[in-house]
Amino acid sequence: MSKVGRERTAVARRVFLRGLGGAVLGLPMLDILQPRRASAQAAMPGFAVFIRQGNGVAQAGNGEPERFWPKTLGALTTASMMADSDRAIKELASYASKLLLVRGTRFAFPGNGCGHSGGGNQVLTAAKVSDDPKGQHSLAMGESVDNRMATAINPAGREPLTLLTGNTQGYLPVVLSYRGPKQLRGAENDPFNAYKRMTGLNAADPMTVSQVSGRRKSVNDLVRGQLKTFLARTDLSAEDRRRLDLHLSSVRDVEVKMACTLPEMRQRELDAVNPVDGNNYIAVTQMHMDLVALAFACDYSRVATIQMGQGNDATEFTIPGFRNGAKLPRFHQISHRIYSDGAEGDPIEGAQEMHHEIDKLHARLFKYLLDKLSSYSLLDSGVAVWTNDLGHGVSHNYQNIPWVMAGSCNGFLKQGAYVDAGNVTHNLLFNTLLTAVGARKADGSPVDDFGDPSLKKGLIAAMMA
Amino acid sequence: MLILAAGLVACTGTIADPGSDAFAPGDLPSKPGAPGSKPGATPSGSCSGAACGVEATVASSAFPRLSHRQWAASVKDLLALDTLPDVSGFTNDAPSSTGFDNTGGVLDVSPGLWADYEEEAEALAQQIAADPARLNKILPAGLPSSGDARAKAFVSGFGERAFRRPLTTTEIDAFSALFKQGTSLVPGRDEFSAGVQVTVEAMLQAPQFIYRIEGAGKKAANGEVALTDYEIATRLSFALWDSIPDATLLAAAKAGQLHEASQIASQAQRLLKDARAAEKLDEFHRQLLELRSYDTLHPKGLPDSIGASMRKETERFVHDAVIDHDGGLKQLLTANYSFVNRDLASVYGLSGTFGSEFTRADLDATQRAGLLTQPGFLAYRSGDTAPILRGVFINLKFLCADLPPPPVFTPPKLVGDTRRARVDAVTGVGTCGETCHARMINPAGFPLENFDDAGRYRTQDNGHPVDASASYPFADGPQSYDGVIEWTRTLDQSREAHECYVRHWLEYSFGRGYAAGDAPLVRRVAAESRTAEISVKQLLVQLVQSPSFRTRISEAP
Repeated sequence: MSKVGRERTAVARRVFLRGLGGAVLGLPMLDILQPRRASAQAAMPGFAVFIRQGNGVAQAGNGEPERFWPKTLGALTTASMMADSDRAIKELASYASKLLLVRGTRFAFPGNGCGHSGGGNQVLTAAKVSDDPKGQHSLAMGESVDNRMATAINPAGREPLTLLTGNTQGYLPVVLSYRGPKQLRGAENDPFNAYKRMTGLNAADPMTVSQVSGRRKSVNDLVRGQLKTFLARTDLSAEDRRRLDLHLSSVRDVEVKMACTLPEMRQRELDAVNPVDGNNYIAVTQMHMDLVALAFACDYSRVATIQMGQGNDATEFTIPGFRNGAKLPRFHQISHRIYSDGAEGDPIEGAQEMHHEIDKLHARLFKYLLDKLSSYSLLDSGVAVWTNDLGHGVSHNYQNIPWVMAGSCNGFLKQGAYVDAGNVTHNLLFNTLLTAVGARKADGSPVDDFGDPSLKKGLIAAMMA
Repeated sequence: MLILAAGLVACTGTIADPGSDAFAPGDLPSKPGAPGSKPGATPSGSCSGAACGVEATVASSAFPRLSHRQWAASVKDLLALDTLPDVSGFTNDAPSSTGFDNTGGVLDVSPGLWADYEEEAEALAQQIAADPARLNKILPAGLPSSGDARAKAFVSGFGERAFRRPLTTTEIDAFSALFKQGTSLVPGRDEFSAGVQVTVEAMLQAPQFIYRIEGAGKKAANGEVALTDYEIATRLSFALWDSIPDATLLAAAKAGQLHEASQIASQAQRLLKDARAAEKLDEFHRQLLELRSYDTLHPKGLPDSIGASMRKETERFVHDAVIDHDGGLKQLLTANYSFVNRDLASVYGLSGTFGSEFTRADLDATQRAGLLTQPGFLAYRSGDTAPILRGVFINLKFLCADLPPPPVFTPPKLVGDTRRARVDAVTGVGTCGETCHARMINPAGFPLENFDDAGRYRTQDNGHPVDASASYPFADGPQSYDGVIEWTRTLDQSREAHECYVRHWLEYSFGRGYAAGDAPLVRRVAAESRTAEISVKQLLVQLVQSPSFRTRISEAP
């Protein structure tokens, strides 16, 4: 992106944080309270948000026509995207100049008995799928890209924001974010819980912060001492050691949270919504997106994921303007085109069209996220990613995974372009994004080795500006 | 054209432990997927331990973390609160393959959860310290009146309840030192209550509270470590209460009277009479049957509140059968009564006057039997594929059958006059769906074809008589039945159903995943459940007396 754009971003951020900076000036806690971004005026660190739709998209394959991607590779303009009127991606035409669409990537590894689980295992990890557990319980054998990014660019010790639209119980409830091999991270499905967690103890009240931090330091020193005693036990299993290590690293003395808040009206909406009611899918997803944008703007986190729907998303969508707002069959069944979650069932009349409309709905949700990020003038400094843990709807395969991105990471990523990566494994895409947001290998060189070590190394040149 | 992928081989009903002659076909399939529980090492080529049918210990975490529910219940007891602290905002744990929330060996303390613990501990400690009446309730008996002795006695006495064992000298010193810092850390409070506040705050965040730490006992030559009496007290109270031991249980541990099976059994019987045990038994069935999902059920033509009513019905029934009447799996599967309000009475087709309150109602014994015929169970699995959804759930949760996930396919054209005919046409004998569906899934679901999407009884489907007959391949041989009454009786007579139920209970009471080494124990207790019809409470008393409950083996370093 242009230098002008970057300057505008920085100024907007500083204005946003001005009240906070003034309030704490001159206090001894200054270094703790100073939000990293406020002091990072020169090189704005990147951010990344991944939103994940399930069940594949209605793209070409299995005898079905192309209804997702643009007609031609190359430059994207609002006019060219509007002309692709039968493609889901058209919904993002107004962001044409900020988009980067990448086709031609695939997951490298087979699932282990369950396509959805294997897709969810790999989509953000590029890691192998576990032998044990298997089936819908299978897990990824490596960390996810949001985790790696958080380690590299988040405020120290802060985990990636991990949000879920839908129920946390079920057949395949949580699939996306991994701390390491088989270490699936729980996801927050209640936007108000997430909000409260982000805004707990904030820097706006320095007296309280100072008092609380003093007490916490003493308490935590004791807790850390106890944990270290247990870590010294010689009979610890590898798994117990890992868990206690994580616990120890989770203990931090002062976690100053966001000084930013949502408008009262919006807070009440977050409080009121029932996050497990499928009818609230759109509303809850948008609330999560508000939180992600706020978290980035206020530097609570620089990395976030939103898993929209369960592994095999069975939401019964109601799409405004489609079929008079009638409730559609379960999305998973639509994606299979039959009234069944298994292998056989009655065909769903018009299922292709329904799937296409659901893709368009998710495109509009992604646009909502881009609008939010733009409202904080953030879009150019990071990257927002809309993806899927399957490629094609009906066949539920791992080929040609949809990657729809917006934002240049301060000029690193190509913009206004639809490119073909050339049927490569998608770890290369993550290498490119990791490098774009500012992660580096130990020797300072670009990250080229994310994911399973057996995979080809490198970046995708076609994605870079 | 149907295309079925590989994976059919797994659909053989039940799977014997390979390499073990002692396991008859039909023994529980092992569940290697359960994290946090690895089968004990079995030397290959020879039979030993569990492989010979001997009840043995299986490896488990030495630091299982409290579930959120356990944390809340423990804090309520420890701080003598009137109600459970609200932990609904605690960072969600990743789901475990047991399906239960308390598989402690896979539960982490992430930065998010640690912050939740911290904030809740601070808030609770502050409330207690600020209120002399509440503070009084948590003071150990015989506290010295002042000075260092008073601080130390508080640390020792309160700490023993929080950590479920006497504190070590080092621990007493460390927490007493913190206690003394109270006045400087909590300005504006008197010395003692300030000390209490920081001590309570710290102990609620201490690993000794958050984890059920084990491993203090002596290691035997075979690698087994006998649990200390205090460790057994903790295992027992969490197994039956999801909370910390009470004073009686700690006293038994202190007296060294909590390591023999008979000693454990008598304490278990005492604990099972407490309301905390009732809540644990209720919650087990809530999680096993996914009852919380019923809330949003809304079959056509019924009021908005019907989902909540359906959940409440099953909760009341389970509580009545298992707590109030000391029932076992037999009652849960075959009882012909339930609890209904006006809306449910209409689903059941009951005559009489019903209001918004729930009352006990006898049901038609030719139509209804236990959990499987309750409207919530049926409505939760409705639609044209209801026989498949119901059949899969019964296979997975009632029979612990090892069904592989559905294969990749191209959709077929599907026709038939009844739901059964449509399902049969594509999954029945002679189709590619035969291996899993025709053999195992459909026979478990078809007997429920007498129930529509709201759980109403029907004899006709689309103008044709309902066919609810089927045959299931049990390990002891195929069993045929016609209708749900015969099906639930058949289930109750099967080894599989009782072994499966006991296996779930082992996971939920021990707080770890099932491992192959647990099979002999499960088989023995299940046999008592099936033939002697022991109650769920008796079943639990059996489980906690087992060697696996009284000793431990560490997982690989």
